[in-house]
Parts: sequence; C-alpha cells; structure tokens
Amino acid sequence: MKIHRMYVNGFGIHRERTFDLDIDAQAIVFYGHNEAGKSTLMSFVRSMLFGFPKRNNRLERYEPLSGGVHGGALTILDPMGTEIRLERYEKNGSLKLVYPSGTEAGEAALQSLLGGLTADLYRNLFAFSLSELQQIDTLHAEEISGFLFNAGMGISGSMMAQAERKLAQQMELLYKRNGTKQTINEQLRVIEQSELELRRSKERSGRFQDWQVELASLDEIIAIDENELSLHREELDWLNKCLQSRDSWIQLLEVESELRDLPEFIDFPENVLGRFEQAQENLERAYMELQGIQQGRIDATEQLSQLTVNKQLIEQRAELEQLLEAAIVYTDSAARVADHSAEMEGYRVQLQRYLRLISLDWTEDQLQQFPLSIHHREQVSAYAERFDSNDQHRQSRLNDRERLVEQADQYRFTKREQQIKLNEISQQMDSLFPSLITMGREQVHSYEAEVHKLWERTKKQASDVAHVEERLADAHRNEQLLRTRRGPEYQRVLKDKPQNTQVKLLAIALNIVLPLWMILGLNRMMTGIVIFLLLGLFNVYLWLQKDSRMARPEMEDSLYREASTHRDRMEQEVGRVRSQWDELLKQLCSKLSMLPTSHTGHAEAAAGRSWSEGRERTDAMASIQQLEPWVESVLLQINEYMQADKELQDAENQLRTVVQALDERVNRLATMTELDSKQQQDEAILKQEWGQWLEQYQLPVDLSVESMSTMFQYAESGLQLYDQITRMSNKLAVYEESQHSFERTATRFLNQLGLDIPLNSTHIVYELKKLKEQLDTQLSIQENRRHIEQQLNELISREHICSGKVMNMHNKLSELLEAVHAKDEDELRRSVRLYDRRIELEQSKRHLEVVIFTWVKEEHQQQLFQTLEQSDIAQLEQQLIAVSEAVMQIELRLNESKDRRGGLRKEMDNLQSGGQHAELLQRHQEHIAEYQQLTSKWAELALSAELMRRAKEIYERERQPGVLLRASHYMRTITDGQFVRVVSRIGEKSIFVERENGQQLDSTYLSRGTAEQLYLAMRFALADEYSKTVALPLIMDDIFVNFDADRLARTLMVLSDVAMRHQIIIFTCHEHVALALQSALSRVQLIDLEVEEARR
Amino acid sequence: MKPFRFLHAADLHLDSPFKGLTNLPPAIREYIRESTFLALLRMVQVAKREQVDFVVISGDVYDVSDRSLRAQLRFQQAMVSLSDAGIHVYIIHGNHDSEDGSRARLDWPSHVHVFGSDEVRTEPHITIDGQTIATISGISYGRASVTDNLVPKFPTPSPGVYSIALLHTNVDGDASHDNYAPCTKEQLIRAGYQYWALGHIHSRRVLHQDPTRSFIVYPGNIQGRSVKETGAKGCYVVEVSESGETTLNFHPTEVLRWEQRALSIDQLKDEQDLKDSLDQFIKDLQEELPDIPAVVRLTLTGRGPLHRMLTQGTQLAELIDEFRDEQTRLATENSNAGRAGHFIWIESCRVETGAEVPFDQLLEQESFIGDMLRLSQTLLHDDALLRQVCEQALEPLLGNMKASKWLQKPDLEQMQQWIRSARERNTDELSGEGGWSA
Repeated sequence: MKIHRMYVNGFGIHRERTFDLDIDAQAIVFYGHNEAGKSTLMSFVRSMLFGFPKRNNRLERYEPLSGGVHGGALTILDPMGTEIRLERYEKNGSLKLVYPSGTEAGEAALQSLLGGLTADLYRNLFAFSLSELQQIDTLHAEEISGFLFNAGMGISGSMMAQAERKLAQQMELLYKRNGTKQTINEQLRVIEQSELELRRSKERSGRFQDWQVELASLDEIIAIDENELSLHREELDWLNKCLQSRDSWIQLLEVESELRDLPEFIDFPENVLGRFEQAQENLERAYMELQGIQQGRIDATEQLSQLTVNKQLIEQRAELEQLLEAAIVYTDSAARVADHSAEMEGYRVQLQRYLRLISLDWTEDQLQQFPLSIHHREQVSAYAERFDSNDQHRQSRLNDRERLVEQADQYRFTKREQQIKLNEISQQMDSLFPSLITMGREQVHSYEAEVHKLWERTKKQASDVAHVEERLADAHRNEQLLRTRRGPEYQRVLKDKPQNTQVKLLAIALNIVLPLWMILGLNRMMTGIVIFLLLGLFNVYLWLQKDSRMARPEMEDSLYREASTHRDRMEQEVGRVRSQWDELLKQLCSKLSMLPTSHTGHAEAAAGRSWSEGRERTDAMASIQQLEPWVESVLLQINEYMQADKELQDAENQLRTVVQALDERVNRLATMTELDSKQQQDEAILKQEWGQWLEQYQLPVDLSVESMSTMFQYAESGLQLYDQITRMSNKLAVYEESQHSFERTATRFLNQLGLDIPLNSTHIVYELKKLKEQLDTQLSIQENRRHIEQQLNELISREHICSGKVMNMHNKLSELLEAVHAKDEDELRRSVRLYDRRIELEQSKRHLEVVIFTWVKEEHQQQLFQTLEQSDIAQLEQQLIAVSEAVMQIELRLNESKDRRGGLRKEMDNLQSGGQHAELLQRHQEHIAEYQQLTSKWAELALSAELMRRAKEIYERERQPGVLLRASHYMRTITDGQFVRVVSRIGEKSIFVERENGQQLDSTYLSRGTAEQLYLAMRFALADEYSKTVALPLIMDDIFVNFDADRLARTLMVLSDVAMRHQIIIFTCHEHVALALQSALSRVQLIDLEVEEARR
Repeated sequence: MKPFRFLHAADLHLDSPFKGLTNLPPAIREYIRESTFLALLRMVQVAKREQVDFVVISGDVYDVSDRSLRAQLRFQQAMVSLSDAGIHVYIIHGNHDSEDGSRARLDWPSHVHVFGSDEVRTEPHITIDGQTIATISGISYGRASVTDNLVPKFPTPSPGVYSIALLHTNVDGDASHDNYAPCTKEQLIRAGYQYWALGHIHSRRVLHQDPTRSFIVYPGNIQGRSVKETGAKGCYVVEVSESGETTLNFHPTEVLRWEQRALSIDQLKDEQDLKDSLDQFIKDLQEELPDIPAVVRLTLTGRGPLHRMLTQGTQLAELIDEFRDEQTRLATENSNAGRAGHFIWIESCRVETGAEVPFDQLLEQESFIGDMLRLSQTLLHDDALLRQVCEQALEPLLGNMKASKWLQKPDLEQMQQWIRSARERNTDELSGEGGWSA
C-alpha cells in the first residue's frame, strides 16, 4: 500500500493542505524546522488510518489550531494499484473509502487493507519516532511478540499462551504430583483403599488352608473337651449324689442298730391290743344289757296283773253295732216322713186350683174321667180345621166376586170404544177407496198382480220394439250404402225385388264372415272344410236364384238385394212387435183406468197417442216413461188400500175378543151366587155337631174349639198332680212301718242287757250310744293286756341270748392273752409296744433304702457306701468344688472353641460362595479402569502441552529466524559486520546481539546509537515479515539523530533495500539527513514544509 | 487306529475381574461377573454333547493371584460333572495358575490329570476297552514367570499313537502378551507332535495346520474378558479320523461379547443425526448379535461440525448415559425375568474426531500450527521419538511411584491416539475453534 496524496482539512497547525507524494520515489522526505508540523503530519497519517485518539489524549489528537474541520483525506494505492480515497473527520467519527468506481466502503474494508493491523502495532512497526524506537519494550508488546513468533499466520502469541495456560489448568485439575484434591490423586486413594480391602479379602482367602487345618484341630479339641467334660460331669453328679444320700445313709445305720436290739416276733396276731380292748368293752356292754332285761320282765308282770276285762259286753259287740247302724236309718226316716207330708199338702192345694180353672163344678173324679187321648185331641183339631176351611172359603168367594164385577165393567167400556173405532175406519175407507171397496178384497189382490204383470210385459215389449227398430234402422243404412255404390239403376232393381234382400244379405254375410272365420281357425281344418263346402253350396243356390231373376249376377247386386230383403224382413218384424205392443198397451190402459187417479187423464192421453200414432212409429220407450207415473200411482193406491183394509180387519178382531171376555165374566158371577147358599148350610151343621161333642164331656156348650187346647193343658197338669199325691202317700206308709220295727228290736236288746228303758225313741238311741262307748273302753284294755304279754315273752328270750354273749367274751379274752403268751393285760400291752416299734423301724429302713436307691442305682450302692464310709462330708464337699471348677473351665474352653469354629465355618462359607471377594476384585478393577481413563485424559492433555512446547521450540529454532535472520542481516550491514546475529526467544523480553566472535550482548548493554540501530533493524525485519500479509508505508520521524555518518550511510543502504518493499516516508529537521537521503537513494521526493507553506 | 475326538480349551481365567469397565449398574455387573462361570458350563455342555473322549486345558484356569476360592470350587464342580460323564481331563498350569500359587486343597476326581512342572510327563489315554488312542504330554509352570523355552523338554513322541502336547507359551513372541516360555513355531513343528494344544494367547489362532502331520493351535479364551478381546470365544473340538487326519471344529462358549466399533461423524450435521446414528448402531449390533449381550467400545471418528459439541460440554456423556440407562433397564428386566440379559453396554465412547479444518492445508503451512501438525505427524511415524516424547510428557505421572503403579503401560497405539487427540485439541485451540468447557 502506498500513500499517494495527503489532504489535511484541519489538523494541528495544518489547515487546508494537500501533499502529493511521488509513489515511485524510494523515499519521501518531509523537511522542515521544528514546529513545521512534521510530527503533526505523521500523526495525521496515523489518525487517518486508525482513527483519532480519544479526547483525554489531547496531545495526540492534534485538534485544528487555525480552523478547518478536524480531519482530512488520504489517497492511497492498494497493492493492485487501485486508487482509493480515504476520508476521515473527527466531527462525526466517520470514515469513508471511496473507490474509483464511486463505490464507498467503511472500517471493515480499511481493516482488510491494513491486514488486520492494530494501531499499536502500526505505531511500533510502521510509524515510529525516536522515542518509540528507543523503547525495547515496545518490541516485546504481546502483540508484537506474538507477531514475531507466528509471523505469517493468523494466530497470536497470546492465543498460544492462553492455550498453554488452559492446558496447564486442566492438567492441574486432574493431577498434581503431591496433590490431594485432584481427580487422579483422589482416584489413586480410592484404588489404594480398594486394594487394601482386596488384600484383606485375599488374605482371608489365603488363610483358607490354615482355616481348614484349624477347623480340623478345633473339631478334635472340641471332641476331647466334650469327652472330658462328660467325665467330669459324671463325677460331679456322683459327688452330688453322695452328698445328697449321706443323711439317709446315716439314718439307715442307726435304724439297723436299733433293730438288732429288738426281739423278733413270729406270727404276732394282728392288732391284738385293739382286739383285746374291744372284747373287754363288749363284755361290759353285755352285762349291762342283761340287767336291763331282767328289770323289764318284773315291771311287765306287775302291769298285767292290774288289768281286768268286761267279757259280756264284748260278746254283745256285733249286735250292738248292728243296732247302732239301724239307729242312723231310723233317725233319718223320721225326718223324711215330716218332709213328704208337707210336700203332699202343697200338691193338693195346686190340684184344687186347676180344677177350678177348668170348671167350677169339676171334681177330681171328673178330671180322672176326662179323655186326654190323641184320638180326642185329633177330634178337636178336626173340628177346628173344618171351622177354618169354612171361613177361608167364604172369604175367597167374596174376593172372586169383587174381581169379576170389576173386570165386567172394564170390558164393557172397551167394547164401546172398539165399536167407535171400527166405525171410523170403515167410514174412512168408504170415502178413500170407494172403487176398491166395491171390487172386494180378493179381486184387489188379483188386480194388483195383473197390473204388475202387464206392466212388466209392456216394458219388455217396449225394449223389443226399440231393438227391432234399431236393427231396422241398421238395415236401412246398409241398404242405403249399397244403393249409393250401385247407382240408381240398381236401386230400382232393388226396389222391384225387395223380397230377395234378406237372402242376399245372408249370403254376403256368409261369404265374408265364414272365410275369415276359416282363416282364423286354420288349426281346425275339418271345421273349415265343412264350412267351406256349406258356403259353396249356399252360393251355388244363390247364384241359381239370381240367375233366374237378374240379368247381371254381380256381387254387389246380390248384396244389395240381400240387404233390401233383410230390411223388408225387419220391417215386418217391427210391425209384428208393434202390434203386440199396442195390444199390451191397450190392455194396460183398460186395467189402469179401472182405478181413478190424478194421473189418469195424462196417462190416458199418452196411451191414446201411442196407440193412435202406433203406425207413425212413436217411440215405445217414451210411452213407457209417460205411463210409468200412472202405473206407479195405481200401484200406490192399491198398497194404501191394502194397509187400511188390514187396519180394519185388526179392529174387528179386537172387538170380537172383548165381547167374548165380557160374556165369560157375567156367567161366572151367576155360578158363584149358587155356591154361597150351599156353604151357609154346611156351616150350621158343623156348629151343631160341636155342641154335641162338648156336652158329652160335661163341658160348657159355648166353649170354642180354640179354647180346647188350653183345656187339655190344665187337665193334663191336674192329672199329673193327682198322680204325685198318690205316690207320696204310699211312701209315707213304708217309712212308718220300718220305724216301728226298729223300736221293737232295740227295746228288746236293751232289756236283754238289763236296762229298763221306756219305749222312747230318743232314749233308745242315747242308750245304744252309751253302750257303744263302754264297749270301746273294754276293747282297749283288752288290747293293752295282749301287748304287755307279748313284751314279757320277748324279754325272756333276750335274757337267754345275753347270758350266752357274756360267756363268749370271757372265752375270747382268754384266747388273746394266750396268743401273745401273756399272763395278764399288762404283759400283753408290753409285747404289743415292742412289736410296734420293730415294725416302725423296719418301715423307716425300707424308706431310707428307697431314698438312697433314687439317688444311686442298686449296683452302685455298694460303691456309694464305701465312699461314704471312706470320706467325711468336708472331704466330699471339697471334691465337689474342685470338680465343678474343672467343669466350668472346660465349658468355657469348649464355648470358645465352638465360637471360633462357627466363625471359621462362616468365613469359609463366605469364601466358598465367593460373591464378596469377586465383587471386591471387580470393583478394584473398575477403580483402576476409571483411574486409567482419567490418566489417559491427563496424558492426552500432557501430550497436548508437550506438543505445543515442542512446536514452540521448533518454531523458535526454525521459524523465528526468518525475522531475526533478516534483522541480523540488516544489523550486520548497518554496523559493517561488527554484530553478526540478532537473537530473541519466545516469552523472553530481551534481544541479544552476537558479535563476530560469537559473544552475545543484551541490547540493554549497547550504546544508545547501536541499540537504536538494532531496534531499527528488528523493525525493518518485522515489517518485511509483515509485508507477507500487507506492505504498509514505513513512516519514521527523525530517527537517525544518534547515528554517526557512517552508520547513517549504511542504514540508508538498508533503507534502499527496504524501500523495495515499502513506501518510505521520513520526517526530518536535519538538513544533513535530508541530503544524505538524497545522495544515498536514487529517487527521493523532498517536500520542504516551509517552502510549501510559503508557496501557499 | 480308532477315531476319537477331544476338546481343547485354554485360558479360562475363571472369576477374574473384568478390566476397563467403570460404573457398571448392578444387573450388568452381576451378569458380567458370572460370565466366565457360564462359559465354563457351556464348555462342559459342549464336551458332553459332542461326546468327546477327553478334554485338554492348556493353562490359566484361574488367576491364583485373585485368590478366588469360588473359581476353584466351580472348576472342581465342572470337573466332577465331566468325570461323572466319564470324560477325562488333562490340565497344565500356566502363568496365572502356576504351581507355586496359593490354592485351596480340594479333592479332584480321578478323571482329572494335572501335569507337574518338573518335567514333561506323558499320559496315555486309554479307553474303556483298554485301547490307547492317544498320548498326552504336558508340563505346568512351576512359577508365574517362566522365561525358559520348554519345548526342548518334550521328548520325541512314540510313533503309532496320536500325540498331543500341552504347553502354555508365547510362540514367536507376541508383543501383546507376556513373553513366557518363549518358543518358535519351527521348534514346535520339529518336536514332532501331531497336535500342539497351546494356551496363553487369548485370541484364537491356528499357527500351523497340516492335517495329517501337525497342528499348532491356540483356542483363545473361552470368554472374552476385556474390550481388547473381541470376537467369538470358545473352544475347539478336535476330530481325529481313523487315518489320523485332524479336523478342528470351533464351538462358541462365550455368554458375553466384547466389541470395538467406530462411527464416523463425517456425514452427521447435528445432535439429532448423532442420536439417530447411535440408535441405528445399537440396533445393528443387536441384530448382528441376536443371542448374546455385548459390551462395546465405541469410537467416534471423522471430521465434521459435531466435533465441537463432542469435545465440549457434557452432551455426548448425557447421550451415552441415556443409551446406557435404556440397556440397564433391559438387563434388569431380563435378570428379573430370570433369563440371560440381552443388552448392549457401551463400555466407553471415545472421541477421535476433528474439526472441519483444512488439515492437509494446515499441514503444509509455514506456521506454528503447521509446525505443530508436522511435529505430530512425525511422532505418529517415529515410534522411538513418540515413546521418548510420551515418557517426557508423562513423567509427572510415570515418575510417581504410587501413580505409575496402576498405570497400564501405554502401548504404541495408545500413544498415537493421545498424539492424535492432542493434535486436534491444539489445532482447535489455536485456530480459535477450541476451548474445552470452561
């Protein structure tokens, strides 16, 4: 890129200035004194390309001092040689690139023109003043440094550094040699932990063999210990038994020694003392009983002697008791006699009352004679019935008579009414149907039938007439048709021979119809043939006929003739039918005119017309229509007459019936009067007979039949009372008789006993009762005696028994004493005591033996006794303690062994199932896998970093020299070979120069001028490197001030080389510099700012 | 010669923990932990089903260092089961279950023959009818680290009988395995055995096959145990015909598959695309492995707009967690339902993507990034320099006794991956793309 023109509108001291630059010049030199605006121009170019500095940087802004708009324009040529105008004004911060085509562009286009260069880099590399040149730091600005190392590529050193930092950070997050929190370090710990666990698990697994051995030995130890334990337990058990049975054993020894001191008893009787004492007691009791019995015997004998009995009285006991029973009946019958007498008197009074009720003069005798039989009662009821029937007859006759009289009156009235009605009807009929009445009922009926018949026939005849006339009309038409075809000539012929018409017509009809029929009926061949033959014959006949009468036998002729004959025949027929019709019509009219009606005149006219104009062929049907109302009126009149006649007949019949009924009633009344008188006679006879019947029984004659029933009741009750009285008096007689007999017997009995008692019934009974009491006393005494005697007998027998018992007891006592060899009771008691003690000791010995047996079995008893004899209780207890202790120890040991064995077995089971161990192994591997994944990641990062580092090294060694080599070359030229190489390292802020002898010097140790020459060489080299991207103009502001003449000249040589790639713009206030430039370079454009200014 | 067949398995590593897994949900962890045992059961089933005459196991039945008694007991059960079926088992110890290792004293059925470490012993396999159909020679490891070549100890087999040799060895020095009992293929062939039943290398390999004369076979382990052990795992049933001709039939025994898969983000525009392609990825894998659950390591590769999202923030982690949750649910449901889980567990999702930068252009550029990229390219091609740089860069970690103890010694591939990631990271950072989450 080259600047072609500068236009300053307003910038610092410059205003409205334009500088045209020679683009082909090796260098453009702006020469001017101080304050001429050289630095201002450089700043102007910088501001044009990269924008105006901010307001806070006033020094750099170069705001216009002498007016004008802050800004201006550059006209530049891009590498392709296109001229582009670049305008930039501070006012609106606007930038405008104007292309020759007129298109405009902005900042982006400028940036691409500048190859993405930043303002700083531009200032450092392409537009620098002496102050910038002197600053070594500016070469190490990050941007430049990056540019230095990645020259020719779009990345910066900062990017690389950033990438390296990132890598380092990532790596540090993952792993640090002595770190703890890094993921890999943490994972390492996890692995170590799992390894530890695994090792333990493996150890366990490794100990399986040992455990197997241990298990076997444990089994053995346990077996031995268990054996020993059981032995000890047995001993312990033995000692316990010894101790437990020791007391019993001592007791047993004592019992045995006592037993040895006691005498032995053989066959000692059982319970001898008890039995002895019992016997003594029994003896005493027997004595006592004996004494009691003896005393009782004495007492009884005494009592018996005191008791005496009245024997006579006791002997009369049965008779007395009989009498006493009879006395009860006697007393009872006396009371009954009194009762019956009173009742009988009551009955007598009642009887008298009944007798008086029947009749005042009636007695008991009459009552007894009064017949109460059924026969008599029926006689009475027969009388009653007869009286009743007489009454009823009388009453019914009275009723009948009344009813008959009433009916007779009714009929008489009806009769009169019917007669009146009959007269009315006959009069009406006379007036309405006089002719019919004269005709008589029978004839009217036949007349009606005749009219009917004639009318029907007339109607039929009329239709026949009409039909025939129609056919005649047809015949006429036909004839007319044929005539029109034949012409008048033939008509005449036809007129002459009308007689043939019918035949001809028939022939025509046959000739037309038959063949047609034949054709249609072809299937019936035979019929066809027959018809054909017939037709043929008929035609032949016709032809022969025609031939005789007609000159020209043509078809039409014959047809016509036939038609006219047919017409003639039809006319005859009409005539015949009409004459019949006329006849009928005449008959009908004569019949009809027999009855005068309202239609008569009109109808007669019609009939007369029809009749008179018959030949004029009146329309028969019209006549019928005219006649119809007449006929109908005649028929209606006949109908009406017949109805009225029927009414008349009904009335006559009713009247006849009424007259008959009236006559019957009158006759019945006469008969009834006769019957009444006969009845009255019968009643009188009955009354007489009844009176006689009453008299027969001495009853009042005027007694009615009805009162007889009451009569019968009273008589019956009276008779019953009479019977009761008779029965009672009989009973009383019987009672009195029995009383007397008792009194006699009792007196006799008492007398026998010596009691003189008067014959008073009361006394008798009293005495009898007193005797009875005495008898009872005697009987009880007798009983008492018998009882005492019995007691006495018993006492005697008991006395005997008791004496026997006493003897027995004595014997028994002596026997017992003998059995124990004792002389007396004392001796017996002593023996018994000794015996009892022995028994007791033997029992306790047995008990102790059983106790000992429960502890120790029989076979060990001997051993037990030996032990007990050998050791005392203290020794035994000591032994017991010792053994229990041993047992406890063994048990403890055994438990431990068993626990250990259980644990081992469990562990071994675990190992055998192996799940846990396998899980650990797998987990361990998973941890390792994860670790390896992490380390792999880290390794990748580490290798990224390593790759970066090595690439950098390579770059420093192989790529960087591109810039430094060129710088070395420039430096060597400038210093005339005093310094041969420039060296720099990435990331180090120092530049070294190497002398010819290889000595390297830090740039800071160089002289000012040499240092400036070095930095210039570096900038040239960098600018060259950058020119691979874009070649920008190099603008230098008085940088050669510290250069000596020689170095300056050499520098300008370098400059001429650089100028081949870059536009060179130099500002200087030193004339010698300007001159040197002019002399050193072939083409230099010198712009003297003051001269320019003056020129304006 | 009577035809017969035998089963060859090795490296059972029963109950060994699974490496490289983290944060497993219980249901999945439980299933994975049981997987070696389930594989053993399957192996026993294969032996019974195929009615083999005998079984040879070429070492590393379990890791004695794990001290898993369970492993030993389960193995004992399996041996009893085989013995009950009348199947003999010939076993050698390898570096993981060397003779000197601590192990429980267990009773073994008489059908189990374990070779000692003193010398090569040869056992004739005699059938019930008294016929010797094969001789089995073998030697165990006396200690974990056997660096001697054991092949010379094997005697020349007697002719006429089919000869099988059991050896736990690293043939021709496979770098991914410890170089124990080293030997060469040539030495094995020269030894004259008809079937070298080898163990130690976990991947299935047939080093040499000459059906009539010599077979050298690594059956691989019966169950993959880390994401490095991918592909089908199982055992060989070796068929020996009347004429002595040998044929191998592979029988899978694994109950869990390990896989490593890559997914390019080249065509992916946004997060939804990523989610969809992950969905599809899981679906495809399920279809590919319809009967077996899998643990898969997913590596995102390629360059695209998603790179920034993948390297920054937690979106990817959240997305992966979502998938894991879903699979956990599946596994839990299945394990509750009492059947083997059928899940796809994403072991990890590695991001090896790059931003959409003109990488080749940058590589040419005379710039710092260009220098850095060129340096990384140099490292990727200069293994020695790579090792040196890694050692230097990782010194803070490697130099720390504690820290380095658990480090897996990085292999070249790992180091190269680190360099690639570092390169992308630095490029992102320097080109203004980058930046980790703050």
